[in-house]
Amino acid sequence: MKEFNHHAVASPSYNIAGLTGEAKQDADKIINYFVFGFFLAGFVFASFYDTWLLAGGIGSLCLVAYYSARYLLPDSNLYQYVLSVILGIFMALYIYQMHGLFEMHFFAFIGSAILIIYQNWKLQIPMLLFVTLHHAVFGYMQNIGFNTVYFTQLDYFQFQTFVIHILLAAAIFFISGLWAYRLQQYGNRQAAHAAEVERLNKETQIYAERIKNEEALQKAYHEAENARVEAEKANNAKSVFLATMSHEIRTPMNGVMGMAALLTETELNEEQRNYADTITTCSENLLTVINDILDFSKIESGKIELEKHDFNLRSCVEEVLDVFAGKAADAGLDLIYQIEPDIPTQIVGDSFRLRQILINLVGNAVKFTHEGEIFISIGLHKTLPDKRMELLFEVKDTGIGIPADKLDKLFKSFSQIDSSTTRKYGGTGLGLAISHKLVELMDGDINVRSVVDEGTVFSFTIQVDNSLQPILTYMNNSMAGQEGKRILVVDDNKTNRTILKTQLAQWKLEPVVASSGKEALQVLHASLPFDLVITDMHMPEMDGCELTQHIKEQYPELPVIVLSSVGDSLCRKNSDLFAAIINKPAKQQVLCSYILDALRRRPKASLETAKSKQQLSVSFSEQYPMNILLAEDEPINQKLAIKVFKKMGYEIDVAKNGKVAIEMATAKAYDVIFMDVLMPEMDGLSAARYIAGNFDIKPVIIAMTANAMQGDRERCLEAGMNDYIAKPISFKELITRLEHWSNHALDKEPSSVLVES
Amino acid sequence: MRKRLVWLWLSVLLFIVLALFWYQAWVYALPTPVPSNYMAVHNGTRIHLPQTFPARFDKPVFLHFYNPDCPCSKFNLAQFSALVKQYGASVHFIIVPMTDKTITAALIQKKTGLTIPVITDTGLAKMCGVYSTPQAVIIDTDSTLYYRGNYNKSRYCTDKETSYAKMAIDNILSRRPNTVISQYAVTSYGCSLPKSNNP
Repeated sequence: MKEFNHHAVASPSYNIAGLTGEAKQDADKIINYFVFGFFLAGFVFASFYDTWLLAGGIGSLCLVAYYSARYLLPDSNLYQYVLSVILGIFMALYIYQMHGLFEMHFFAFIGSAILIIYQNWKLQIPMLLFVTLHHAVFGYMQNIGFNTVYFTQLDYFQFQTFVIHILLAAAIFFISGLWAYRLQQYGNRQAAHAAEVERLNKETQIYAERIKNEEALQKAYHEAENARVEAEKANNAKSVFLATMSHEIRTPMNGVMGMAALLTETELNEEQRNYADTITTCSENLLTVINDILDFSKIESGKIELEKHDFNLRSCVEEVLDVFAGKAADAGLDLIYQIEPDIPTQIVGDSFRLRQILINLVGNAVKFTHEGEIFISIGLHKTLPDKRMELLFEVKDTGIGIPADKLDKLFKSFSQIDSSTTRKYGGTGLGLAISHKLVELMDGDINVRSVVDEGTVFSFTIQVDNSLQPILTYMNNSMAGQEGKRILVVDDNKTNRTILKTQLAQWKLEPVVASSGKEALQVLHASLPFDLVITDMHMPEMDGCELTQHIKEQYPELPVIVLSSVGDSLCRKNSDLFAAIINKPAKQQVLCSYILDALRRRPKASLETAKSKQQLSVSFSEQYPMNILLAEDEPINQKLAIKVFKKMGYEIDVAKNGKVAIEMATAKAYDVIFMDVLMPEMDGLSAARYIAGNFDIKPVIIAMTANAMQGDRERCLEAGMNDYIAKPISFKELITRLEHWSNHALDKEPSSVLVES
Repeated sequence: MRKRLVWLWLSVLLFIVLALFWYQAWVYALPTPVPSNYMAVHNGTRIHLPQTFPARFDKPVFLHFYNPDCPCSKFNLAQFSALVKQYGASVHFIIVPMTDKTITAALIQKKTGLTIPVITDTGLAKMCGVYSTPQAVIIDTDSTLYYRGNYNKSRYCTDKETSYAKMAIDNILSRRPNTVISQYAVTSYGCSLPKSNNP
């Protein structure tokens, strides 16, 4: 049985048990002719002795046997073995039909030869067995007297004759089998050869394809490499261009802003001051635009790297609010913030970039909000492994809102919701794109939701580390002894009321809130005595001043703290009424301090007022006497610096390049050298390097440059400079630096470097 | 399962093939049925041949009852021809066709390849007690029935030991009494006579 199936499972390429596929079909077709030829031959022989029944019956049965096996088991070669047997039966039939005519025995050999076509030597076996059996049985029967078996016309079929007959038949069958086997071998070899040729052809094709692909790959690689080199060149060129542009813009900007600042230091009438202020504002705006473009460029080229340092989150937020306090007050907006108590005060991250994001978002909110409030909330979004956490910042305003179909454009570069917005509100449209990129760099996500005419909420998350440094919690501790003190909070802004209430409750005070002056007075009358009143200045119907006056009439000892906007002259005029005037947004530390003072009934603290606009004073040089050298090639900047330092009481020396600066520093001992970086003949870096390497007593060298690109500061410090101030220079920063370095200069500590500005 | 069914199917076919062979042999092995109105004619009985009988009785007469449509008549045609050839000079050989079909002497001679007389008198069969073909009848020179029977025990006369007709000729020519009285010799085998020729 297995033999019959062997054919079906044989490999198509290496046939070992017969034919397959097309060759098999061809063989079957030819066999059809032979089989029908044998069938017809039966009828021919029937005509001799009228054996029609046998011719029709046995012939038909043979055909049925062959074709039924062939069609019932098409995948098996059983039908070939059936063919082998029926060829034997046909031979027996013919012998019978022709009354043992000896020549009919040749049909055994004809059948044997026919079977060769299937190239399977085993097919010879069934027919040989049949012939042997037929001859043996019928020969024996005839010999024992059954003389009607029609086997042979011989009188007696001798055993010797039988043996010779069968041996000769076996020889013929063997030879036929041998030829079938050899044919099969040749067929297999041919098939193997064809398969090998096909495989080689395929390999050749694959090889050719591989070569082609390799060439294409090589070509693509070269093209990509060239493109990369070109892109790198273009990027470098862009960086150089940006650095140059930055320098070239900042240099005149330094002149414009410095001179404008100096102008405001002089005696001006109202109109002139207005013009000077406008110049300052426009310059600052222009500087913001330049800084935005530079930042964006740095982010785009992947040159920005976030720092990781400890910083106070609350201070960071308050600094941002400080920036917009004036504008918010001018616009009549409430600028409020809240940090959830479960967020540590001290965290690790990049405070500068966080501040930048917040400035962008709060700046937008201030710009697009005409009334109401801007509320910044910070919460813990989720806690991450390794003491990391994800903070959620929300900047919510009550501004004009953004149409839903414009929301998806917001974070794209150079995109504002439409060109009219740009015309009306200004801005490059880079702020949100920069914020988006920075948030991504901090492993966070930024989103916006907005309702037109109701307001917008920008929310973003960032990942930060918990600080390992000890956190100062003096505020909570310093509030010790004041627990349970009753404080009345009066504010028409619900958010403000809520935040103040929460904050006071955290300090274990007992806050009671009122939404108007009238309500506040009612509460004061109706309930237990209060220890302190905190009121907003600007409220409808009854403002803070009016309320305080009413309170003082009835409760002259009850201290009142007023929350006022920057530049609120009304408060200043009535400052005697208040225990303290605190500029909004109220910094937590400041608020804590004033509340304590008020509760302890301390003498009125010095009011937190806006600093005088006049920052520069000759008294500064008296306090911090120093010899200062300025190395600067630009005449306008020289002029500006001389004026500024003069206002501060310093008579500085000026060198037009690094070489002159070295000569002058050799001739005279300077405490501080302000060094421009880009100068003719010898630049600031070379000069600083020389001074750092050759001077025994080293002056403090502060880089003062318009190069504000990434790495400029590091290059300056590496060259031996001690500090770095970017142009345009703010007076405040200049004063801070001089205050810091004057001590070092006086102490002659030449090797110190300011780690963080 | 399917293979087993195919094997079973092939076995059935082989069985039918063998059965057909057996049936064919069995049919020819049976004696010819004896007609109901048959009247046996024993050896020695005087045969009244018709006036038109084509031979004289100077030699024994050998009547070959032959039906061209009977397979058995074809089986021994070669044997009969051999007898004609061997004993044609000593015996009158005459063919007696036993058929319903219209037939001529020339046609019979053509079919048998022999140029011996043909007599279409079917009454001879009844007269000689013949009810099958092929049958051999030898009439002695005194018009008595000497032998009626088969040519050979073997259908196609291959058995020399049982060449009954030849043995009868040899006996009559040697003037010996008929000793061919074997059951296989006198029991008729072969085709029944056509209906119109039945004795």
